[in-house]
Amino acid sequence: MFKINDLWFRYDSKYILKSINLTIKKGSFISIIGPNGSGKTTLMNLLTGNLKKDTGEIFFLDKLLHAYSIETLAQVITVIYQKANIQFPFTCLEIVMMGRNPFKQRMKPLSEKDMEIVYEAMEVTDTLKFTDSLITEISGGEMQRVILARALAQEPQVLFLDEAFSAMDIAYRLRSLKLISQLVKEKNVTVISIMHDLNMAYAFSDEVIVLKEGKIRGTDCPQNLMTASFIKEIFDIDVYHVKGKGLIVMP
Amino acid sequence: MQSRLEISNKLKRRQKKSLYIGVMLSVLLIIFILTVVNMGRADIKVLDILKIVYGKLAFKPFILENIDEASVAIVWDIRLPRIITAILVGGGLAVSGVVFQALLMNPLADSYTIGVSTGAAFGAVLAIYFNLFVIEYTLPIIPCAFVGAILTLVLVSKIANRNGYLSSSNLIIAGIIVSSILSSGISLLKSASGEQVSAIVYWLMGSLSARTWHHVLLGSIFIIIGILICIYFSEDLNILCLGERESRFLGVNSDKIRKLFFVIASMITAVCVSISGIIGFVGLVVPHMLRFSLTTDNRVLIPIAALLGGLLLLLADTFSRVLLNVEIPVGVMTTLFGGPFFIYIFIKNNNNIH
Repeated sequence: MFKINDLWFRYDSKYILKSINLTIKKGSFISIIGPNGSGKTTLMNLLTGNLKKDTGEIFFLDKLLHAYSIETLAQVITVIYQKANIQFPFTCLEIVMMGRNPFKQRMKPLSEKDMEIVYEAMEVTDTLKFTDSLITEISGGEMQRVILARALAQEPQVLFLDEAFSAMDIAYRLRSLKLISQLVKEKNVTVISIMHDLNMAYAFSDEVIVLKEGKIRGTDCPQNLMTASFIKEIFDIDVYHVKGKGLIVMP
Repeated sequence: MQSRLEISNKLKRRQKKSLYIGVMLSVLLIIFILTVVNMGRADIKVLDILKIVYGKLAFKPFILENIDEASVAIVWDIRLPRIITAILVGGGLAVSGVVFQALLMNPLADSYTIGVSTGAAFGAVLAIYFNLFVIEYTLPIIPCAFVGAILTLVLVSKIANRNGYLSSSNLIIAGIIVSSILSSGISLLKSASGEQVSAIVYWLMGSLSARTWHHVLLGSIFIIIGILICIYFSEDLNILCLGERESRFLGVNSDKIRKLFFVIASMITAVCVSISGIIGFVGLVVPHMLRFSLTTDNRVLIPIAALLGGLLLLLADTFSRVLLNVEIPVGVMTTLFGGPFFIYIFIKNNNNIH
């Protein structure tokens, strides 16, 4: 899906990313982990085309990423950010319907089929009850669910998540992650996620990319990569493995 | 929980409701025009007014033969152009308010916040000043205001621009800086014009009196086309309301669309200011009323705001023209009523931010 060759990026004179080489396969759940300031968000912004690289090449589906138009990219890629800053009182239904925008023509209403997709997306995210609620009047976690519904309505091939479920309660966060992994398995969607919660990253990722100080320190499946000693080295924290179940961070 | 059918029915009902409101406002507007054209110091019979309008519109001069010329002149040359200008300017200001608010992602923004109105006013005042003191022939005020607005817009976006990116707060700050400089410029020109200052002051206060068919024609070309373009791209404006990063992943080229809307909304503002001087708060009050009572969906909001803006400015102008003994410039009226409303919204908005 993505191939990155020798990518460098800097703000002013400080290099945020140094010599990144990476291949991202289609249909996998990938988590980017690393301490604050390690370059996770910058890497994601470069992959989504939101930032322009300094040197190096990013290929998306065997074509240079910046050769795609915004309109084409929106039909394949979407991003959910941690915070949706919406100042206007749209209804949640209107927000989710906007997910179909890349596929619709101006001045034409959404088709029956589009509305079906919108409805489905709201059903699986349990947001149908907010249909008529104003987006400015629901809680942060509820808003993240509505935004997730919008992203699902877009039926993306690549879904980027930047701490997208951080405001949800634990039950909805698990539910959303399960939903996303299901998409990866059943619809071959590629998910690239920035996650601070190591427990979740361990449990849900097919592959983990560990960044520190702008360099990739390792990419592998979590079982191989996220050993207690490696996590200690990267984050300077202690974790314990529960055999066959996952990983627990001990304060 | 709602079923699919309920949701799609509800959507249809909402569309119908907006359509009804649109139709209702249009009908109200026509009733209003017919009522207002009958109001004024000169007493003209309703039947005569209808005859004058019909005769003129249908190019049948023989209908006008039995009516005295003064009445024809009052209705056709004075009242009607003024009424239509009021509607056009009100609609234009309301729509440019909607657009600037969406672009700046701030429900309190309008043509004034980013300095475009002041820029247009400065251009016009400069033209008036030159006409009074410097040159022999007359500089046209309207194109000068237009140039002033566009130059201000370019200047403001240059100042606010950082690495090709226009942030809302930068834009508002740049707007404030530029418009305070321009306001001082206007004051300077006012002081320099000595006893002739009344020409500038009266223009600046915002008035719809003595508007001619020439103004109507100019207004209708630019304002109506501008509004239609805004309606055509209104769903892109919806997406822009979600933020720049988000618009990109919903397939909207935010840089391109933002520029387009900035130019169109500035053009509408410039034409409105050229025609009628500074008329404040229409662009703020109308969109706000609609956002909270009807919808914030720009596809509905823009056309309805155009109608309601036209209606309200016509109401305000009639009020200032007819009901009081002294004619008050309509800009003073809208600011007197709109200002407190602005304060109310501001306090309410502040309470909502935690």
